[in-house]
Amino acid sequence: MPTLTQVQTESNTLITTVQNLMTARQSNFLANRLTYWQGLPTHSAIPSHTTSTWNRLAPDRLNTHPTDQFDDWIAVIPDMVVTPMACAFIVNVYEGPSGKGYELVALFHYNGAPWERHINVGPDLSRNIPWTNMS
Amino acid sequence: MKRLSSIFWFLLSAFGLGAQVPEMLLLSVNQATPSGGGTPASSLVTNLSGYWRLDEVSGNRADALGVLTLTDNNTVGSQAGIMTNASLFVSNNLEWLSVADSAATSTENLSFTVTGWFLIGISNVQAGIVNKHGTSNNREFYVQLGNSRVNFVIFTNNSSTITVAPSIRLYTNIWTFFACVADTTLGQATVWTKSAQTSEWTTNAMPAKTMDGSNADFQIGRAAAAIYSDLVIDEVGFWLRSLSTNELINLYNYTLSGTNYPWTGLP
Repeated sequence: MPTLTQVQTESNTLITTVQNLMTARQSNFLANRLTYWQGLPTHSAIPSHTTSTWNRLAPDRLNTHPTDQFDDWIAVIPDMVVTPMACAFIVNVYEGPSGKGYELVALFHYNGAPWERHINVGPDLSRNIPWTNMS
Repeated sequence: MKRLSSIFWFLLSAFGLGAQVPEMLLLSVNQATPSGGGTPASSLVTNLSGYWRLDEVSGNRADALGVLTLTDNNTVGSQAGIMTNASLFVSNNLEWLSVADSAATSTENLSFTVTGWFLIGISNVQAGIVNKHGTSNNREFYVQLGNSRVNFVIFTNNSSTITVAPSIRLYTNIWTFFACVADTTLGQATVWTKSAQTSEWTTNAMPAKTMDGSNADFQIGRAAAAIYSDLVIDEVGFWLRSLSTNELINLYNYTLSGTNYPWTGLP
């Protein structure tokens, strides 16, 4: 019977784990490809929790990639978390007037409302967004 | 002051690009020549906040005014446009262009106009074209394709909306011009869509309501924060005023004649 705070706390731990797996690999990817690596949603269904039920889901789309990039999650992060998770992840890459960067997006549903947290790596600091109800 | 009056009528053949290009409209132009010499500025530059030609094949998309450069999110592609190149959006790749909120794109209780061209491969596509639409509590307007038509929605009073949705059918593989105008003086919102197949003006009343403000990004190619698009978009312009009918027709014809911002010496 999770509270919203409990879901966010567990997701924050996952964020730290994924960040630790990703940071150096993103730097290498940028050095070799001149662009950061984009990660499509890890789950086909976003983990959706309620006040009465946890609904952790294992990622089932780690082998997907954008049409303009050959590398999926496993190619870049072979040790990516594959056990049931409280949140899903997306990695958006950007190129703006101040340069290139990427944002790790964690997302879940709680009592039907979509929640997201964005962690920015790069010059666009406005992309750092704390847990926000996106409905 | 010498006043010139001209009538232009051009008929363009379709490009050999697999996309049909519409013909120009009958246009009546009255152009005044300043007695002191010099080239008059087009009225189209008045209250123009941003104009994006979208000619870049990758990366940032420049604002012709040099202010509102669009950030490329997830490597937006490119293909041949109505003029030079256009931006190609692939929904599966979660692609969009954006610039952070600023006074130049804030429409709260202001007249505004957004124009551009789009090309679709499926008529019943759901696609975001241009918007300031973040969450349900952070939004101003959107221009989207849905139910086989262009939908122009203005958010008011934090809950209600003003919607203009022409009944025009969307045609695939045909460049279509759109112009969405919110006029707070006349109290009306208008959508004009024009392609080689059809032309339609639709106007709905804008009740005297408070138009929402927000700090949402100005976006092209994504609707809200979750609806990504499969379409091509070109030559997007945004004004913090309502353009007149003549101005919209001029803009349409100028694009087809290959004339771009700043339209120097043209009405």
